[in-house]
Amino acid sequence: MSQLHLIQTQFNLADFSRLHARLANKNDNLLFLNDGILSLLSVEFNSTQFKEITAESSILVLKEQLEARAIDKVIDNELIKNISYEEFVDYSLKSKKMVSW
Amino acid sequence: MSMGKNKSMNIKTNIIISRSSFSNSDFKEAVDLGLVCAAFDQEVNLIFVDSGITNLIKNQSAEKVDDKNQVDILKGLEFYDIDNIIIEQESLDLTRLETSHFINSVKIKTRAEINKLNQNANHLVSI
Repeated sequence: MSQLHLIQTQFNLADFSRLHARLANKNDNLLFLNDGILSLLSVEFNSTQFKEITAESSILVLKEQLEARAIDKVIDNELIKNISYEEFVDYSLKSKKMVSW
Repeated sequence: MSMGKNKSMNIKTNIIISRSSFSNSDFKEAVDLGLVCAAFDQEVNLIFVDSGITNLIKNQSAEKVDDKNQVDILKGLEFYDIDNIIIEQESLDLTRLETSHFINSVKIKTRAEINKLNQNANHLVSI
């Protein structure tokens, strides 16, 4: 059973890479929310390096929060899955535990 | 109504905003400070850097997360002669945002240009 990691503060790619390296299970789900969403605006998070780091993980982002900030069209990446609050609850229930970063 | 036509004192205040408005009240406090300075005939530059530039993205719908659209408070600034709403070019370059994503009234200036503005300012406030 995978864990759900909540990324709630803004990370640069180096920080994110270190965080990802510490994950025991590379198949864990990583959810960007609140100011963590701003990380995905960075050009670094559209790079080959980001794709390599997250190859085995599911990258999620809260759809409502993207729309609230009017950046849903900017963060349009096939690696990133937009989820609703309801789906967030589903992921929470299906996860072994949640870790907030 | 224009409250700042006579800049007799010629005091310049630069206010630097470096964080997004969704996590705190920095943006509103910065604009409030700018309005107070302008009401006392000071020249005000609102300078947005780092993730602060996201405050100026147009078509935000903060009501989707039960918040208020902070960007709307910028609409009245021209009545107070605050027409310098500046985005740092280098901060913009680090993101996938383009000039077209921002409200119309913003000006893009390089870090060197902003440094010059800051050198000429009487007061520099970072929020």
